[in-house]
Amino acid sequence: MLIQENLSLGQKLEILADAAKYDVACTSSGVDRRGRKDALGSAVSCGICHSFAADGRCVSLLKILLTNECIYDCKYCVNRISNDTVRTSFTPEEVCTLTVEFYRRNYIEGLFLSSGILRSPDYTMEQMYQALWQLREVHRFWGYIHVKAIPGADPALIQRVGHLADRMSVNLELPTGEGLRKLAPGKSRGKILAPMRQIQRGIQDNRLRLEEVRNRKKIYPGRFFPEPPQVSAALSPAASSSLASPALSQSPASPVLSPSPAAARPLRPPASSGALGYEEKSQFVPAGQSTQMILGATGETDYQLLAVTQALYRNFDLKRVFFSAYTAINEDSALPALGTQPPLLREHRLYQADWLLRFYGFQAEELLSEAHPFFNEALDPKCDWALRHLEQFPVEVNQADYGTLLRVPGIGVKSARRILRARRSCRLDFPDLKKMGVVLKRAAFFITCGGKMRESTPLEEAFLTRALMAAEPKTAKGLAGGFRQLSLFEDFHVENPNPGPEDIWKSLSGQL
Amino acid sequence: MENQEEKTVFVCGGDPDDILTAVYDAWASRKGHSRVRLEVEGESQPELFCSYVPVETDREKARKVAAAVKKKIGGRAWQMVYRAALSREASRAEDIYRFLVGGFYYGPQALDMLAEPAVYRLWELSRAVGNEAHFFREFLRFDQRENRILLGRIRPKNNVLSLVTPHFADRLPQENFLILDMGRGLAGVHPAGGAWVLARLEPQEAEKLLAAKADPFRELWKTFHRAIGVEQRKNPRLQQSRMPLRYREFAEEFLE
Repeated sequence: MLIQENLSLGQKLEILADAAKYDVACTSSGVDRRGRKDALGSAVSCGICHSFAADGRCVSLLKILLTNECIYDCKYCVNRISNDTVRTSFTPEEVCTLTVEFYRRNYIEGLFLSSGILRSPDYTMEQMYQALWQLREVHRFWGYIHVKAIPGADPALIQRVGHLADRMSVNLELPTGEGLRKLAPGKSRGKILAPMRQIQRGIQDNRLRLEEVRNRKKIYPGRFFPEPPQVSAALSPAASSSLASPALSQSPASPVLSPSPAAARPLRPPASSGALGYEEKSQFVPAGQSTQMILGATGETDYQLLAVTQALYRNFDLKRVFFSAYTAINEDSALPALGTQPPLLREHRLYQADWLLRFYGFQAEELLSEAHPFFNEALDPKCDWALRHLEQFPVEVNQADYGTLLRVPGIGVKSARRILRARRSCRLDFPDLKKMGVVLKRAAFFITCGGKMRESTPLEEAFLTRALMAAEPKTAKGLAGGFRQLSLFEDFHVENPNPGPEDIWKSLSGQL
Repeated sequence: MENQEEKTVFVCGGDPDDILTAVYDAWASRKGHSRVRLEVEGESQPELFCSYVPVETDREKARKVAAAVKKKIGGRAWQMVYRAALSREASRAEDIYRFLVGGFYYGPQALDMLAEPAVYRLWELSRAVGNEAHFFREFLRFDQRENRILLGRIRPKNNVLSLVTPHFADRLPQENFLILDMGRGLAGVHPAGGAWVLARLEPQEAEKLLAAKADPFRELWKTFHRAIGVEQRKNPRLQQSRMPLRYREFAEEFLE
């Protein structure tokens, strides 16, 4: 391992941004925080992108690693210990300077701090805590922070980091335990899920506490009611239950909170008069947690990926699950060969399906099944679903309920809401729908307005498949292999080299 | 004798106050909604058989219209009217008037009547303005000049400066910054710790006031922007559809 000591800030940034780029999540959404007079920054819940990189992905946060040194040897990862790359680290001060100066110039929406594992998970998590603490308290940064929870780090540390960050994420990396064993020998399913569960519980505690405050206000309206001691004790990191966890007391070998500067600082730093007191006052991970899975490095099916995604939303209350098409960067017998193109279209279809799970009321089992485990790459998942459920169409736009409208291809969340609002005062017709953002080139086949379809098209699977694919020529072009010209001789088995009109008719109607 | 068919055209300036004053005057003229029209000065062709009435801007009248909209149609309607007034469309004054005719009749439910042309038109204008303002909140870049003063430059189609500046005033309360609308010669000025104001300022004057300066973070940002893209996923068309060229004019990362 090559460790470089005398790199400039620019060189470090180049290395540590390059090493962080395979992480997908760059959203700055989920929390609304107005600016305050004595601090720098604000947060907007819809999220703000500040630029777009050459690959078309949004640049919202300063996405960097604290260090690209790592003790693990995960086969898919560019920073694995066996790779012979230049290794370097940022100091917490450098992270702060970059974040603040970029933020002032409106280059970024905040910081996304991840890291390779330096020495041990605990040590790494502490370094990250230090950087975030300095950013919040010394530089008074009030903007968005997304931070990785390091699997295997002490829960007490994760708890404290969570009060400084807006969003936390733990990467699941591979959807199955088997894949993980094969590609990431240092990690295990349990090790990854433990911090995920902890963050989920922490977020639930937030909600309970909020409800408690609300109830108290209900009971004692008009009277300011200070926090009762037991609640504020739960808020303070020093007394949080996780700090008293066995992991801390029975691990003399681990350097948690003893030799490190983070611990040398008193648990609550001395409150100078103007201190933000961010860690003490902020909720735990207010913007929720997310995760990501690598796609195409091992042999999982779309159905497995989507089922895991759904389970994560249901059981772990995740805000987002990201998919990352595997980019072949490492040479390894367990991996796709170098030069393999990342499966971008597959990734796109999975994101579309992810949207269907989160906003459209679909379930993974409706979209895919054991018998039908992959998405049709030529059609988006909703069209694909609709084609298999033609008995539910056409839908009358002037009467259908919200849930039914959402299931129509070409109608999205916004246009469905607009339809509901607009049809209170009049009957809608096709031109009205177009104005409201309905994509008629898809929707027209599945809806009626006032009992009439736009054109009398048959609700028939083969016809609709062709019509919908014709409406999306761009995707068709991007398909692996692409489409080819139909040939009478090969596709319809026409034996006669000089077919007459009759033969052509027969071949088209499938009688040959 | 006055021709029954003849229209009276109220000609006003292009800013929200001007347009709202014209709405007030046209309404108060009691000539009937079908016989008045609003025009923004210099943005339409004059017509025959119309009598043209210049409108003198009166902030008090504008304030009254704004208050009436908020009270009778609601805060969201006011937000839409205000945004529509910032639009670049020549017909914006007339569009606002037509919306208000229906809006004052139906009240808050008017906003839902998207199939109604007047409502749809206002919604369309307001959406275009709101979207553009959001793009500039995203893609605006501040350039650090002398004394750590930040200079942001935009060239928007619609007059979105008054929607963009408050976002940064909230976000950067302790910074001295200036946002220049290069096409209109307007500036949103924010002194550290103070309230922001709109002012007339031509780009050349701004350049004279704030001399350009070398800034190491510009290079660092370019470095980061280059490093964060994945080579194997390179997709300039996607990049361009998400960040169209017209937003890149002052974006450091796309400049040589």
